[in-house]
Amino acid sequence: MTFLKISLRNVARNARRTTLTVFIVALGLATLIISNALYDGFHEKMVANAVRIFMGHLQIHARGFHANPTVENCFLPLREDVLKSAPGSPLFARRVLFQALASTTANSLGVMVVGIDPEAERQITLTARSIVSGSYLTTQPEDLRSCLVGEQLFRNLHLQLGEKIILMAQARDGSLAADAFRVKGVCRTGNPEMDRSFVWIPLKMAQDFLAYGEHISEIVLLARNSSQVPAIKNYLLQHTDSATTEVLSWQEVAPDIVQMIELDIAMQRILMLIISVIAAMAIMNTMLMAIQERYPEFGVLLAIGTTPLQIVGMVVQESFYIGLLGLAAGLALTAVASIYFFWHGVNLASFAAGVAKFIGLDTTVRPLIKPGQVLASCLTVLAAATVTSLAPALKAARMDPIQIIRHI
Amino acid sequence: MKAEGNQQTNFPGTQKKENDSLVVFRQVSKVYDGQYAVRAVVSLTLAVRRGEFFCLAGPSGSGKTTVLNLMAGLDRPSRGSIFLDGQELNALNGHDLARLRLFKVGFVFQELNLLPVLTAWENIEFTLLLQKVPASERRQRVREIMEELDLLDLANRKPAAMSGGQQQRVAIARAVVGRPLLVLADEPTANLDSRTAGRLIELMHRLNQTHGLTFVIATHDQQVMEQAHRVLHLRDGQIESEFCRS
Ligand SMILES: Nc1ncnc2c1ncn2[C@@H]1O[C@H](COP(=O)(O)OP(=O)(O)O)[C@@H](O)[C@H]1O
Ligand SMILES: [Mg+2]
Repeated sequence: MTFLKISLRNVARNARRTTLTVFIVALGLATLIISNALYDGFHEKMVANAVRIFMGHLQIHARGFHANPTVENCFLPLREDVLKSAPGSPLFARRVLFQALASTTANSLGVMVVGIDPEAERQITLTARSIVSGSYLTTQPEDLRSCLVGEQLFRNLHLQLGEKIILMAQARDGSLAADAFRVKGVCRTGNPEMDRSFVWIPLKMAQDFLAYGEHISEIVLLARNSSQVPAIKNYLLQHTDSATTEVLSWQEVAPDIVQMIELDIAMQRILMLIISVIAAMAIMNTMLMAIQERYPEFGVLLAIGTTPLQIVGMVVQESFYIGLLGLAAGLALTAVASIYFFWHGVNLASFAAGVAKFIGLDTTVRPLIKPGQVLASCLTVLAAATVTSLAPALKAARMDPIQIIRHI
Repeated sequence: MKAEGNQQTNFPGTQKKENDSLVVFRQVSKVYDGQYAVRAVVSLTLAVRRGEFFCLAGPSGSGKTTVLNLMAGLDRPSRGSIFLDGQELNALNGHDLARLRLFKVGFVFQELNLLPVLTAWENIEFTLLLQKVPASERRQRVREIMEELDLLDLANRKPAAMSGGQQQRVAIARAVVGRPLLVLADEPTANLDSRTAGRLIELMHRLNQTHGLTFVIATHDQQVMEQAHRVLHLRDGQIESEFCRS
């Protein structure tokens, strides 16, 4: 109890130096938490966007389709009731995917055609919302020969709304299929590849086009909560034949996102380390100075029977309290900063060019404060501050009191 | 805590005397090894009786502080043996020596005795906290000693707000509150004017009289020597002369 009192009063004794140290610790901690929160916010947005732009949380294909998406790689869809009773009853949509040649009077370009069920697709992806002119596909019979076109492709083919394009591709039976589709809408997804090469047509037309019958290329699923993905995947694996079917989570569909996040996390760890070291050095320096000027005190303490261990405890406690003050100030700073960032967001537009295929159009990132992350940051900084103070503490405890007494 | 084992090695004539002694130095030498060896204490033999007001005199560098440090077990002799309350200090490890200082020895230095962040009361109480005396008894004993030494007015002052003489009186209170057997004071009056010094000596003398506390005081202050039962003059680590008042 006395040692606590002594430590606390010593913390207060040199107010300016303590304030400076507390400020460094606080700044370090706030930087740590905010940068973590922004990264987490960015990652969450990136994943959420990537999932909603096209790929969904899970995909089911004929085995081998992901590696080799040919027309032959198709399968008969699972029964709807099987899909509906998956854990958390995810949303799902069937798709047919194939490469084709799109021609207008002006130009011919290779495209990726996506046969979609407009209503199911609307639930899962942002395609319906990404229409910048014209309108989305419907299930009405007059829409069967309509299509949606990526914005860049629309320009490259010098199209007008309502004009026709001819799609040409090899069907499943080897025959050459060709048909004309009227451009009903133009999509801007933000994903450069999609905007440059995607054409959306009704699922039924795509199946007819490729002579698929009831076959499809993929089922895309959207979990209501991303934490359900593993459970859904398990369920799907149990209800499909792994010899003919593959079930992929978004992590398997887009391993580059996972790698990017892992890289960021590693960078964050390094940042955490650097900041902890800085905070620790600040405290260590403060304590070394504080001990230097208190040599006579320690000499007397040791002479009158204070044990070296008690001296160590006293010094360590002192840095611990400075660390605690730093934590409090750091959390206050964090609160202010996160309110600011939450309000204004951080626009990654310039940075987003590199990650546009994941991020899409929504480039504003907001901090995502995770309590566990905050706690980990606090504990890391506090531990670093306390542990480093062991060096000055041992220095104080190992002093030879007679040397000091001699100089009193 | 009489060391029975020691008696066998004593000559018959000295036995009684050593039992009576709180501190015994036998042929104690202290050499500081450095660039060149300094013989701070040379083959010193002395005994301080219980209840004695003992004065170590001598010019600066004569070895007074070294003797005090040896008595308290802060320093170890290069040769010879030291007994405190019958215990041979050489046989104790660092931890035991710290406990010995805590329970049996009180210290008063020339200055900077007190912890700057604690008040007079807290500084005095500190010894009892180290001794793990329970709170209520602590309060009572601190109050008693402060009353006795007329320090209660200073209870809430920190050292920076006290005069040199006041600080030294608080330091004496801290040294004696733990009920030590021996109080070691190293030039306690060196920084005080002669009137203040006189009051301080008077105070130590009173504690010696009323509580039978043993004092060993290193000093060149004539006033201190006048109060002492015995004055040992050191020069170059050796006894130059001994003056006894009885
Ligand atoms: N730790 C030490 N290292 C080296 N020499 C020392 C040390 N302590 C004391 N001395 C030397 O021992 C001698 C006695 O010193 P000291 O006991 O402090 O004398 P006094 O207290 O009488 O002034 C002096 O010559 C001093 O320089
Ligand atoms: Mg001295």
